[in-house]
Amino acid sequence: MSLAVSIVVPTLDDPELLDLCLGAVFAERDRRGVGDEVLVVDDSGEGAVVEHLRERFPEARTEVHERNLGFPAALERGVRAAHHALVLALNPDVELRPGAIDPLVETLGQGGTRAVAPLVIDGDGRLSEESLPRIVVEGGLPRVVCAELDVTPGAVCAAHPEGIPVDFCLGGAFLFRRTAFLQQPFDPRFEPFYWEDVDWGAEARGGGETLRVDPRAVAVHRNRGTIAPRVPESLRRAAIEKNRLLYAWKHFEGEALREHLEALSKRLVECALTEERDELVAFLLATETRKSARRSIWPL
Amino acid sequence: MRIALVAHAFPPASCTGVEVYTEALARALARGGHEVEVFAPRPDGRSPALTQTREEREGFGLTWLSLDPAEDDEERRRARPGAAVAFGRFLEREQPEVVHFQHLLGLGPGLVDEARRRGLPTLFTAHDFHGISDELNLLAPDLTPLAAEDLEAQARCRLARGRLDRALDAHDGFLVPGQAPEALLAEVRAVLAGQSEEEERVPELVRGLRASLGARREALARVDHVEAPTRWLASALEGAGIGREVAVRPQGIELAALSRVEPPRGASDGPLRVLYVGAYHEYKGVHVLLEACAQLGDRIELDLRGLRGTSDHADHLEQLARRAGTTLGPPFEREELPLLLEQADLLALPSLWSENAPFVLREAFAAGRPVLASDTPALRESVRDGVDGRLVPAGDVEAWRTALEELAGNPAALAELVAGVEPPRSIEADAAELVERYGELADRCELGRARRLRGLPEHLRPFAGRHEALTRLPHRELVARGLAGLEALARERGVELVSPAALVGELDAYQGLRERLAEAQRAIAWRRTVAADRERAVEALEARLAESEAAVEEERRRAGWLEGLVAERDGQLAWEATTVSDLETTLEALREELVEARRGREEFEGRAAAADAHLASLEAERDALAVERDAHTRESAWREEELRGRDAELAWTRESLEDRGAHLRELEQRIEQARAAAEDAEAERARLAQLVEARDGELTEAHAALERAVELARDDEAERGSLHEALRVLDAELAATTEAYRALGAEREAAREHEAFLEAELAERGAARNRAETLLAEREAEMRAAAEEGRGRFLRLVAGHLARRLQSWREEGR
Repeated sequence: MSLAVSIVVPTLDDPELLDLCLGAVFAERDRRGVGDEVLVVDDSGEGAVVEHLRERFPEARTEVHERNLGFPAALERGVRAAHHALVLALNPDVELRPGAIDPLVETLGQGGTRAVAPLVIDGDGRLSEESLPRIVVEGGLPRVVCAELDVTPGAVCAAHPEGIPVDFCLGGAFLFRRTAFLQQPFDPRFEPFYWEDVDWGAEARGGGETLRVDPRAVAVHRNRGTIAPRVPESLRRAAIEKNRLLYAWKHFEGEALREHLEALSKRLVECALTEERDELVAFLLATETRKSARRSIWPL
Repeated sequence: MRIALVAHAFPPASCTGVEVYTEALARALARGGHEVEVFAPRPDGRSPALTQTREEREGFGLTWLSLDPAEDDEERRRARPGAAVAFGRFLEREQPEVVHFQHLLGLGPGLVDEARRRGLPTLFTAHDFHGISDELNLLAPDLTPLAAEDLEAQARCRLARGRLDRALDAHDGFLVPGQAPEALLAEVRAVLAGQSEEEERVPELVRGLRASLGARREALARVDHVEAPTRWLASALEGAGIGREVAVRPQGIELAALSRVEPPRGASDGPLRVLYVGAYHEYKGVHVLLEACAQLGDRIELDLRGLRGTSDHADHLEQLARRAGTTLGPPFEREELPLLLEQADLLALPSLWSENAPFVLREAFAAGRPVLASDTPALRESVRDGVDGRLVPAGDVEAWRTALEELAGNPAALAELVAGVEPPRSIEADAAELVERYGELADRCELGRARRLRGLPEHLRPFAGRHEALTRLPHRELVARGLAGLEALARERGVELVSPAALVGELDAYQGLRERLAEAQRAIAWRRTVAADRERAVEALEARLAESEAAVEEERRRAGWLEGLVAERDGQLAWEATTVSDLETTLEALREELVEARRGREEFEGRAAAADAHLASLEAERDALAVERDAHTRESAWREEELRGRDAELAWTRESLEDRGAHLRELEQRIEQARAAAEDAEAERARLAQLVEARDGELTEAHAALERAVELARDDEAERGSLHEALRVLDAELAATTEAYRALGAEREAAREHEAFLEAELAERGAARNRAETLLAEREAEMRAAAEEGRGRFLRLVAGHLARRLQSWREEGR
């Protein structure tokens, strides 16, 4: 018998998307029949989906943010409010395929596993860099890529029957222990968004734990339910670039750090000469964040 | 505040009013603690076009945009393609908070769009008419005024300048009447009047002007705030349809050095010292000042300072200056101006164009010098006539001479003007006011930015705000902060990197190298273009060479043909020599013929005299005949008149006769009708006679009946009523008879009237009448007898009226 989980869905204000997500979630809950809990955190700041949930999914618990606080804060609110020991975080644009939860629970039960994610595919069934995420360093800078493995969605990976080790689990769909997350939530310096899950994974790995993807569990990521469509592209890129630098400054050591700083130095000179300003701005945003968070438990 | 100033030129490359003002404003703003970046183009033959080079000035930055001085396309010179893109890069690099355009000549209206696309507040200060016309002075080449809206006239100005280009080695685009070659001036005036063979190009030029000026006016309409230093210019801009209000705001100047100038010297110390500073262009009117001064001899000491140029006009001014006892002085450095003003009693501003708000005028006031200026609408706003200067009709040499003479001979008047001079506005006050305006406009943009931020999810706003703030840092600062941040990071993490100072140095060197590399690449591209141009030129030359060779061949053929022609001419000459000999013989014969002809002529003259006499007699005769002819003509006219009268009379008579004939025929008809009527009357009379006779019988019977009735009445009153009835019937019958008789009488009377006219024809009728009367008389007698008899018998029964009717019958019958 599988353990019950609390499924936490932080959301903004897209009821239609939420219907798809929660439809699959409740179907899975009913299929499992172990008393899974569904908890939606309305982060729109105005209770945009509360009424809708009451009508369509009266069994869902609802937590409402009176102000929009962003994904990490919304997830943390949901985790704190969860009743079960295991929490499955789901973005509203992620749709679980039937039978996804059981393998995740099973794999998380293996010793030393911090979190497990389903195999995330896109709407056309293809893998993306989020499916089997690995961090590589190119030219001194970290980059997310998809591990090259022969995987079939819904099936056990022959090479990794216990689940495929990955560098991080996509924040939009991963199972973890409630207490562990509350002890070490997402690093607020990675606000407002992006790379907080990459950093969380690196922290876990740094503590000797493992993160896995179990391809028996499958989820479709529709890539339209998050904050991305609501912000200018330049701002989104600045946030990604800033957090990529923060990640490097936080996790690189020794030669990797030296290579990174030298590459960064060259890159800044290039930007200075070519009058490309975006990377300079992102660099300064990162340095400002670093300075403002010096008292953090993680020195940068 | 970070402020970008944009001008069409800048010192030291160019030092006229706009450039000097922009520089002074930049300095004042920088002194006020603002970051100022100036963007200005300059012709630069050493760098490829559109290269940007930044240099540090006194507290502000200056970015030069290199322009190709060899650019020969006028449109491209006015608004260079690529300048807007370069300005966009400048804005990205410098990130100003406000953009203040001073002039867009040579840059184009696209710069305004670049600023607006980045959401920057914009101001435009108009210094001349460039916003609405290519003719910055609104003067045609013959120095006549132009209307800003008259595009045809402006198109003709271009054609006229093209004519000047072809006719003169060097010129400023204007001709001074009375000085320029008459033929050229006439030619230019013909072009301006639309009477040249190039007139057909005007519509196309007008289309071009409409497009370029339209773009400029639209750019002005899009600028957030437009201002001008005079009401005159503001009105002109508004009147030209830029579709917006133009604020009037006087500009300041740097007072410090000028306020230290010594006051003018004592009134009676020598000649009046007049200073002119500025260009020697025709429209500046220096020739007017020189001609006026030349008439005043040593009472005026004239100091001219300006850029001489190479035009014919400058040569002409040189001659005039010699006559006025001076020379065309060289240009001056800005630092020299206080000294120049100190050595002058007044400043002359003899412009032929309207001017606007000349800086030199305010500089003179700042130095306490009055101004003698042309009386134009704009200058009237700056010079108070009789208070701090004099206004003199523009271009009027005599008026200028008089004004100068008055001041030269009246030191008290000059002193009064000096006392009336008030210091102009300082550039600091100007800058402070502008900063307020910049702030207002920037606040508006800031509100827009705040609105955009509020549109983001709340948790993103702090990050977005920081991002925006960093994005708006100038590139230099961004780089400096980035390098400093990197240094700190490396230091903290114990990583040794190249020191930031070395990095910056390297960066500068690298940047210089990159700049030079980019410049070299642009130069290579440019030289490739030049090489391509040259190759094309070589090809063109080769083509021309081939053409020339063909032309030489043609010339050779022509030479051969000419040689043949010469041989032909030689033969013709020989033939002509023979012909001359023949002609001489002919000439001798003609001479003899001439002698003969002279004799003949004398003879002819004798005959002619006789003919003249005969002619005179003939003429006398002709005159007499003419008199006679006139008399005949008059008589003929009279007779014709008479004849016309007679004809009219005849026509009238004929008409009358026809009327009479008609009347006669009518009478005949009426006689015939009367005759018929008489016959009818006769027949009626006969019928009446028979009736009378019958009535007599009836009367007899009636009498008898009456008699019986009387007899019966006596016996029976009832029978009397029937008798009365019978009498009434009889009475009615008698009345009808009487009426018929009366009608007959009337007809008869009518016939009688007709008979009176036609008595002869009615003779027979008369006889008949007589007979009828006789018969009537007989009948009357019979009736009277019957009546008498009746009366006697029935006197009491017969009403009196019967007797009266019978009596009337009788009377009518007569």
